[in-house]
This record gives sequence, structure tokens and C-alpha cells, in this order.
Amino acid sequence: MDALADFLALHFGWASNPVVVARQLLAAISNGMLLFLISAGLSLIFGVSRIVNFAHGVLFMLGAYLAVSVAMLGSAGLGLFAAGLIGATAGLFVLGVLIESGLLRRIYRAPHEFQLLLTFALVFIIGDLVKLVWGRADYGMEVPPPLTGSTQAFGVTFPVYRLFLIAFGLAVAAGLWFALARTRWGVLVRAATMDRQMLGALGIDTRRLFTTVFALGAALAGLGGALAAPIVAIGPGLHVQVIIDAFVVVVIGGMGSVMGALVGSLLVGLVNAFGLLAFPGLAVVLTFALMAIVLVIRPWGLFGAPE
Amino acid sequence: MAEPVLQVRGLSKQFGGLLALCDVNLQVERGEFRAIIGPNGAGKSTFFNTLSGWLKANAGRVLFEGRDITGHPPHRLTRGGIARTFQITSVFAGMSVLENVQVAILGYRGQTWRPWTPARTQHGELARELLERVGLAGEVGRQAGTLSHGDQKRLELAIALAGNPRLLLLDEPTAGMTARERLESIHLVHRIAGELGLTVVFTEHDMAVVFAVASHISVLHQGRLLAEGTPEAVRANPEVQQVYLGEAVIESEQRT
Amino acid sequence: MKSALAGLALLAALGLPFALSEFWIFIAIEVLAFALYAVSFNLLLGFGGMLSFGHAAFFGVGAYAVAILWKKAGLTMVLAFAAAPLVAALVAIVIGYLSVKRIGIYFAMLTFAFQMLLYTIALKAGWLTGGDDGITGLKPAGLLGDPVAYYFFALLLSAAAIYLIHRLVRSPFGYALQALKGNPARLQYVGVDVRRHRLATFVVAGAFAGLAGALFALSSGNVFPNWLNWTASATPIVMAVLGGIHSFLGPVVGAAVYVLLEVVISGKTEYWPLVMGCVILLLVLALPDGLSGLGQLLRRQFRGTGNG
Repeated sequence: MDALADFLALHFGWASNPVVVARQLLAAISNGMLLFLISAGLSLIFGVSRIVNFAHGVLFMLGAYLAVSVAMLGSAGLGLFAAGLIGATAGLFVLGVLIESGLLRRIYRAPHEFQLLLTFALVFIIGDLVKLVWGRADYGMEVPPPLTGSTQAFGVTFPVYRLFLIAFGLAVAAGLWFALARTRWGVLVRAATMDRQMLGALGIDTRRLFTTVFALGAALAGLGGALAAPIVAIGPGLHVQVIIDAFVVVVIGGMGSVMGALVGSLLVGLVNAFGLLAFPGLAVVLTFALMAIVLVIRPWGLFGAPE
Repeated sequence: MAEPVLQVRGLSKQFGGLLALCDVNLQVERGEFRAIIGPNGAGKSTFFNTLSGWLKANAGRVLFEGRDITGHPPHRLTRGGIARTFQITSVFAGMSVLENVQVAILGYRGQTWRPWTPARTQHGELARELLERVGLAGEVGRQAGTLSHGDQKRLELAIALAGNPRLLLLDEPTAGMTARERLESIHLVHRIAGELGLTVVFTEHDMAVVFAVASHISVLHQGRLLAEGTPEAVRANPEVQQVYLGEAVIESEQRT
Repeated sequence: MKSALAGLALLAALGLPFALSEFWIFIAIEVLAFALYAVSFNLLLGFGGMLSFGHAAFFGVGAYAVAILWKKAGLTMVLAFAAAPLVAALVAIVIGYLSVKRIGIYFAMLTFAFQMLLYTIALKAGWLTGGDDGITGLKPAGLLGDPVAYYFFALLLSAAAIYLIHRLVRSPFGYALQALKGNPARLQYVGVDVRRHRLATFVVAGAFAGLAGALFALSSGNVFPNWLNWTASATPIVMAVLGGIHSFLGPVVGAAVYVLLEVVISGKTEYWPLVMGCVILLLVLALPDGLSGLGQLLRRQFRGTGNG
């Protein structure tokens, strides 16, 4: 019994400290929101085109680099920050259109290994181009003035930017939900995700649908990168952890499901944040363990449909 | 009395809220050539796929030669003596005609775990005999995917026969053929089944085919068994006439 | 014709180390290890129709197994080396059991995820794996310490393993695999347990990848977590597709070309990934059947002009 008590005290001692728990919860949810922005795009793209976009991590990274480049144009402020967000989102949207219509479109009917290699080639190419343009050193970006500092609630101090991230992420999630549930475009996306033959039978211009979905996914990744820019070190290795986490998220949540991406992101955010407290060396392994458990119980993910 | 080859007891299958099969009972004796008919959407395919282990039944039991085989996976059913063909022709398109039958023989005999002996030396004679039986002796070297539709159907029959099955399940064996090909094809199956003493259960929507060969007929309608018996009895059944009236009119219009 | 070519290649391989500098002998050993790696991968993709995106897991496990068993567990080098493919096979049983239920791109993602799990372990379990620094000092002592001797050791093992895979592909098991790739539903109805055949293939491929990893680890003298990193999983796919997945020896050619390209290009520029990315794009968009497809095309062209 003593051994158990020691174990609990060592690994879960923080649980009795509400301040630590609250702060970690905030980190978990805000990181989860960033993760959601990437994994929602990854999931949507997969749902419609059945392509796993391994380049999604470098698109996120590109968003962060664009945001920091815009921020360096002047002194830190809300205006430049907003310009960075818009620039990264729009820039990645355009890049998304180019990638989809120039490359991906040629291989929708090709075997899976070609699709995989193609998005992988983009990882190599964009990853190296980023090094060519921005060099290998890390960039840092300041949180813009009105979002700096922290606020007090229930006797706990919360960084404002984290709260901002959560609010922003929820707003994007709501917007996505609206677009999917209430627009014609959303109906098409859902139809394509569920049954691709049906889409063809309806005689819909699938080219535009595929392009917009990919571009939107890329834009979301860019937005995520820009939002993450003030709280991460922006370097050429940034994309690696991001794509792996996003991957775990969509496998847990279910490929093709935006709701799955949201729930999966929050779960991975929570496991990362609290795993770090409980088992500092094993936090990353824990998210994979979570994934393995989900896979054994529900092989197609929490919100995915069996293929 | 001898054990029936196939007994189906209270078989039901649901898709979501839709009841595709409802409490179907069926008994097939040795040597029968049993047709399962019914209008489109009657549950023929569902019945067939549930019977052959492709779909899991929600309720009911299936007995083969008295043994309960409900829920057995396809490979186990097959090794036990039940062979099936598919509605959409299903051969190993990338392999040669001979290899198709060879791999089938290897599969039925559980010999696909052999990792060393060259497979082309295995069961070549037997495979050729089977191909001769279905009339494909001249095509052994062809790539299966390049055969004509009718020949692919023959090949599928050879694949099904390769395991010496006692029960042969044929899903729409004449689908996609012209009227003449259909009769030719079903007569081939009928002749071979007679020679080998096989029991056959097949689904079919062409009544000319059904009445040409079936020894017994079961009629499905809206997932239920509507009628059963010899062709004469089923033909005379007023309920069956009722159900088929619409379709029969359409079919006769198509023929003229 | 084909076997004559293969014999010629073998003859050349036997004479090779006497014509090369030590640097190039090590490159040749790398080619041998990666050739086996690519062939083992193509057993999955080209013959079984299973796109694994986590094949590097087994290459890495084989390499780490020989390193850990030899340097940390105190086994002799030979025993550790012999155990490496078995350890890889054991890991493949677990990963395969959880992955082969699913097909196509879902299978690819699962295998990928499990590889990343192993990568994380290699990175974080420093007491076992050396963490970021990997495990070094794996150069064999004694006879195998001589590069030429090790080259022949690698040649013997790699060629023997590839021959075993060749036999497997043409065996009844291989026929079933070929049938499974094209039409798994039909195969179940000739009495074959498709899932168990998939799993067995996965385990065999994993074991041979483990052997390749162990071979390479003892040649390079070290093993790093990067061998398990996500970019590592693209390597066997590129090699196989580059050589042509529909030809048994295509991946061998692909592996050789890949390794040589890497040596040459990374010697000239630090942007090797950029060049590699462009090569892959070219391959995917313009050369769908790989080099063997290109070869066939050229042959046909040549014959066409010769006749006319």
C-alpha cells in the first residue's frame, strides 16, 4: 500500500493543487484548439479526396513563418498580428489551390502509394524551401500588446493569449460547423465523405469541390501556424511534432469527421498536458497509447464510419 | 430419412431500421436444384450473403448437413464443403486461367501455407480437368481478366468446383448474359451438378432460366418467404402470381 | 535471359570489393542492406497489395535489437545479430495483428502510427536506446571488422534472403498472396483465411526488414532514432516504386539508384531532401512503372526502330 501511495504522490501529487490543474487545463485546451485547426483540415481533405496529406505539417509551419515575417515589418501590435493571420490564411489558401489543381488532381485515381509519395515529396520540398528562404535559425514572435499579460479568475492567473486561442478556435469550429451543416458546399462535402459514387451520380462539379476543400484545409493549417507563432519556437523542425499529433488526432477521432477532429484534438491536448505532469518522460508515448487503445476498441476511430 | 443438406431456421437480417430478411425458414434436400426467386428488393441478395457468411444474421440459425454453421467466416464454410459464386463475376483477374483454378485447389485443401515448392507444379492436372469440364480447356494460359464475360462465369464455376463442394451457392449465375447464353450457362451448371451429385441453391430473376432447371423454388417477397415448392406448384400459387404480375407484364413487353 | 542477367550481376557483385575504395565498399554494403529492405517491403506492396507506411519500424527494430542485445544485454555479436530478425518478427506480430484488419490507406496510417510510437520510444527510453545519441560503437571486431569480409557477409545474407523471398512469392503461399491482392473476397471463398495470410506476410516482411536493419547497423557502426522517424518510412516506398513494384528485382535496382543518388547529391548540396522531393514528384507524375517500366518502354522503342 505504501508503494502505491508513494507512486500516487510522486506522479499525481499535482492533482491536489487546483491552481496547477487549472493552468494545465488551459494549456491543454488551447493547444487542443491549435491542433484542431490542423487536424480538421487533414480530416476534411481525407474525407473528400481520400488523400492523406502528409504535407499538412509543413503548411502549418509555412503559416507560422508568414506570420512572423509580417510581424517583423513593424512594432508588435494588433494590426500587424491580424495582418499576419490574414496573410497566412490567404497565402496558404492560394498555395492550396495551386497544389490541388497542379499536382493532386493528377493522381486521384493513382494507387495509394503514389498519393502518399506525392504529399511526402511536398514535405521535403517545402521543408527545404523554408530553410532556403528563412534559414535554419529559430524565430520568436511576441504576443501582440492587447493580448499580452494575464487575467485573474477564481484566484488563478491565466495568460490572456491562451484564452484568446480558445475563443478563436471555438469560433472557427462554429464557422466550420455552420459551413458543413447549413450550406450547399457543406452538403456536397458530407456527401462526398460518405459516398463518392453518389457524388458522381449527382453530376456535380467535383473539381471545384476538391479544390476548395483542399485549399480550405491548407488555409486552416496556415491559420493554425499563424496563431501558434507567438507561443512556439519557429524553426525548420516545427512541422514534425505537429503532423504527428494531427495524425494521432484524426486516427483517434476518425478520418473524415470534423467532430472527431475536435474531440480528438482536445483528448490529445489533455493527455499531452497532464501526461507531462504525471510522467514527464513518457508524455508523447501516452498519446500513442491512447491511440492504440482507441484503435483496439473502435478501429475506425471515435467518430469515423467503418469503411 | 437422410439429413437435409441445408436448413435455415428463422433467419433475420436488419440494416439500420430496415428489416431485409424476416424469419426465413428453408430446407434443401440432397440433390436439389433450388432456385430462390423474388422481385427486386425482395431480399434475395441479403439472404444469399447471409447464408454464405458474408453478412452476419441478427437472428436465426443455418445448418449444413445437420451441423450449425451460423456465423462461420467464409473460409471456414468453404473448407467445410460449401462453394459460392458472385453476382458480379469474380475471378483472380491478374492470374492465368490455370493459376486461378490452382490457387483455388490449394486454398480448399489448406495448402496455401506452403512457402517453398513452386506453385505452378501443384495440381496442374486436376485444374486442367476442371477447366475441361466447364469448357475452358483451350484457354488455360490466358490471363483471366481478358476472358469474355461468359468465360469468366465458367471459370468461376471451375473455381467453385475445385474444392469438391457438396453444396453450391450461385448468386445470379446468369447476370449480364444474353437470353441464349443464360440458358446455355445454366444447363451447363445443371449437367455438372447432376454428374457430381451436387446440391445447388441459386438466386435468379430470369423465369425462363428458373423454370428450365429448378427442381424446387422458394419465393421471397419483402424479406419473407412467400411460397415454396415444385415449379408447377409455385407457378400455380395465386400469391406468387400476384407479386409477379407487374414484373411479368414488364418482362413480356421487353421481349416483344 | 533474366537468370543470366541475375548471374552476371552476382558475378559482378563478387568482384566488386576488389575494384572499390573502402568508402565505396561501405556504400556497396548499404546498397545490399537496402536492397533486401526494399524487396521485403515490396513483398507487402507489390505482391500482397498492402501499403505499409511503417516499414521503417522493422528496419529500425532490427538495428536497435542487434545494438541493444550486443552492447547492453551482453550477448555475443553473432547471437545478437541472429536474434535481430526474430525481434523484428515479434514486433511485427503485434503491430500486424492490430493493423491487418484494415486495408488501403487506413492500413498505411495504422502502420505509420505504430512506427511513430516506436520512434518515440527510441527517443525517450534513453536508458535502453541511448535517446537522441543512439547507440554507437557497433563495428564488429575480428574477421567481420574487415570491410571486404563484411561486404561478402552482407552479400551472402542479402542474396540468400532475397532468394527466400523469391521462392515464397512463387510458392502456393505466394499464389494466395497474389490472389489476395487482386480479389480478397473471392479468396475467402476458396477457403483461405485472408487475414492470417496478410498477417503472415507482414511478419515475414518485418523479419527480413529487421535483418536488413541489423546488417546496416553493423556496417555503419551505429543506430539512431532517425532510422525510425517518419521520413524513414518513405524510403522503402520510393525505392520500390523507383525500381518498379511489378518486377521482383525492381526494388533492388531502385535501392541501388536511391543510395547512389543520395551519396552523390548529398555530397554536393545540403538540400538533398529538396532534390529528393523533386525526384519523387517526377517519378509519381511521369514514371508510374518506375525504372523497370522505363526499361520496357525503351526496349520496345529499340525493337520498333530495329524492325522498321
